[in-house]
Parts: sequence; C-alpha cells; structure tokens
Amino acid sequence: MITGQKQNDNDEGKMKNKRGFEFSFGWMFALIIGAVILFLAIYATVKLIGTERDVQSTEVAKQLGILLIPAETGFGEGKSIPSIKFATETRVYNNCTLKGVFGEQLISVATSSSLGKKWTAPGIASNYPNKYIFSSSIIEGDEINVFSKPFNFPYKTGELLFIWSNKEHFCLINPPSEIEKEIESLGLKNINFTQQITECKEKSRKICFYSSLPECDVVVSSNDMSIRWKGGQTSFYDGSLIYGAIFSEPKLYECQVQRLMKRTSELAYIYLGKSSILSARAGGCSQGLQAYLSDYGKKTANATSSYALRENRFANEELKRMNDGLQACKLW
Amino acid sequence: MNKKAQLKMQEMAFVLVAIVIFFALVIIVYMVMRTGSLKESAEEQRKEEVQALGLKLADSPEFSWSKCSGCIDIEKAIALKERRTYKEFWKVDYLMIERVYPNHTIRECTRGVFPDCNTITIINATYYGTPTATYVALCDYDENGYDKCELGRIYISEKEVK
Repeated sequence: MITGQKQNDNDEGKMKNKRGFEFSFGWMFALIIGAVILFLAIYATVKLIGTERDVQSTEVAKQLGILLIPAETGFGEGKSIPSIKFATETRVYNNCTLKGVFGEQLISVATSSSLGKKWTAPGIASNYPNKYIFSSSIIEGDEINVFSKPFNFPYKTGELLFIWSNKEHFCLINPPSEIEKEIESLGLKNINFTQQITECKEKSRKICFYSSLPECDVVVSSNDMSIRWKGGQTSFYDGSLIYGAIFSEPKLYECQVQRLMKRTSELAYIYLGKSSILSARAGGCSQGLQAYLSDYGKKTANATSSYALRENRFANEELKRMNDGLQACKLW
Repeated sequence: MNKKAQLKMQEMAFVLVAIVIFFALVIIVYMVMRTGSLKESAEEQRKEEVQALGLKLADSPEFSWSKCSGCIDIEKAIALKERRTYKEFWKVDYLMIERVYPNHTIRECTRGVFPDCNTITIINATYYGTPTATYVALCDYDENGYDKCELGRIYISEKEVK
C-alpha cells in the first residue's frame, strides 16, 4: 500500500527525471558541429576518391603512351607487341585534333570501379604529335592488342598503330591474300576471315572487300582505293592505311590521314634540304628531285581530307620512281 | 546570461577554432605530400619516356637512314635543324647529335661547314635539365657515293614538369 508521503516523493522523482531529457547548449552545439564535421569528412573523402581515380586514369594514359613506343621502333613491314593488360576493366579514349603544325593524338583513360559509379569521365588526355592510332573512339576491355605498320608516301611518313580490345571482333569477308597472310603471320587476335558474311559472328565488325552488302560495316574497294563507311561517308586509302579501314572510324580516320599529310609535307622539305646538301657535295646528285619535292611539300600541306591521297598519288609515284632511279645517292 | 555560460561558450568557440585549424593543417600537409609525389611520378614517367624516345628517335622518318635500323642520317639531321616547325614535336627541351669518332673540328654543323664539324643542335631551350646520352650510328654518303657510318651520340633532355 502506498502512503500519502511516498506518493509525494515519487512525484518529485518524476519531476527530477524530466530534467534529464533537457538539451543543454553544450549538447546541441556538439551535435550540430559533429554533424557538420562528419558531413565535411564524408564529402572530402568522396571528392578525394574521385580525384585519385582521375590521377590514376591520367597516369595509365601516360603509361600507355610509353608502352606503345616499342611498337613504333625498329625496321620491318608490320609488327605486333604483346597484349597490354590493365588491372581493371578500362576504357581508352582515342581522339585526334588538327591543332598545331602536325596535329595531335590524344589518349585518355577511364578506369572502372566497384565503388560508386562504374565509369567516370576520362582523366587528363596525354597528347602526342608523333603518334597515329587507328581504333574505335572508345576501346573498352581489360586487355588491348596492338599492331603497327609503317606508312610510306613515297618515303616513310610515320608508324601507324592499330589497337583493339579483347572484346572487339572483326570479320573480314574475302580480304586480299596479302592482308590475310600478314594477319595470320602476326597472330593477331579476334580477326576472322570468311567467304560469306553470314559466317561472321553476330557482334563482329564486318569488313567487306569485294562486295557491298547492306550488312557490311565497311566496304573496301581496291579498284579506286576507297573506303565506304556504314554512315555513307567515303574515304580513300593508300598502302598500309587499308588497315585503318578495318580498325578505325570515319572521323578518326580522316583526322589521322590529314595529320599524316602534314608530316609528309614537312618531310618533303627535310628531303629537299638533304638533297641540297648532297648535291653541293656530290656534283649535283639528286638535284632533279628538288623542284618535285618543293611542289609535293606545298600540295600535301593543303590536305583537308583523305582525298589528298588520291590527288597526290601521281606525284607520289613520280617521286618514288625518280628516287629509285638514283644510282649513288638515294634520298630515302 | 551568467558568467559560467559565457565561459562555456568561449571554450566551445576556441575548441571549434582549434578543430578547424587542425583539419586545415592536415589537408595542407596531405596536399603538399600528394603534389610532391605526383610531380615525382610525372618526372619519372617523363624520364622513362625520354629513354624510350632515344631509341625511337633514330627510327623516326626525320632521322632514319633508310639502309639500317637505329642509324641516323646526318644530312637529314642538318636539314631538320633548319625547320622551326619541329620545336614541339618530341616534347624535349634539348636535342643534340654529337659526332664522336672519328674526330672532327669542334664546331656546330651547318650546311656551309658540313662535314667539317662535330655537333648538330636541333632543339635548344633556354633552360633544360641534364641530358641523357645514347650511342647511335651516324650515316651519310662519302665523296664517291658509298654509304659511310661513324660513331655518334644523341643527347636528349626532357621537358621539365611544372
């Protein structure tokens, strides 16, 4: 039984307990500041992870540029280097600009992550005025294949790099025998040859050589040395640029060809200089080529599309013939 | 407001300022360390690139002697020296070819003095780091039109990472 005195004591206790729920200024202040600090810490961590991913992507792009150097050195008609393997699924962005005297090859990379968004924007692009990469604009995979071939017009102008990932497949329908032999001898991966387009893998890129079926992604015609892309655009090729039709896209292809023509022009002036030095020392040797080289330098500098390859084909063959005809002091 | 409460608020304000200063210091130290390591890694990559470039350069169309891999055409190099368009092409601050053996007169090569000279300086920025040297074969034609190669060295200094 509860007496009247005890009842009063209980009421007082309850009153005292109520004071325990009161929020003092110190508590409120600590909670608000704690929340702000926690928010800032999480925000800074997220930002930091993003920045670190950008840094990592930028470093990978730079390293990729260095790893491609062995493919550009040495003699020979075509060479492949061992596949380049990435630690995670990676996207390599291939971009090309006509900025400056020689234009630029831009390589940027985005790495995938299991934290947050799978793909973020690519890191800072590495730029190379002396590289020519033919590939799709985004190469995605954890392994990429590289193969290179020199481009001669008529002298060596540059080393062309062809890149594709382990996820990309190519189907070549009735390719010329020399292309088939070269690809087989280099052991290039994910490239198949067929007689019929129906035999191609469903998701493969279909390159037709002697037929222009609507299913073809690219039609290469060796008669007029032209390339017809799926979108309806037409480009032209010469020599090893035929591989550009297999691995590249129209916009990239056109940009790289224009860059190659700019370098062809500069090289014409270097050979002109060499010819003047040689002819002064060796009784006019190679002097006959000088007017042609000067003219060739001017013409190739004005290239605005791959049509320049066709326009300068005659001059190119003439220069080649004249240089081959030199007995003692060939320029190239 | 009583004095005790005011004192508590002042205490809190000081703690807050101290926390902000502490975090700011941590961020500054992190940024300094990270920037330093990034610069170091960029410089390392640049060095690696330049070392690989030494090998690549001899095979590039502007230098290559068509009859052997890794050989430099001296006359092309002299013609290249006259082209200003190549200043930014290899992204180096210094690029020089030296004719090591047999000995030649110590002076810069130009069209006028060649072959009686020993250096061909193609790129020479105002400021550049210590150049890396690689031995190469330097080739040209002799008076009778025969191929003639000699020992040379190519000096390259990478662009400084800013």
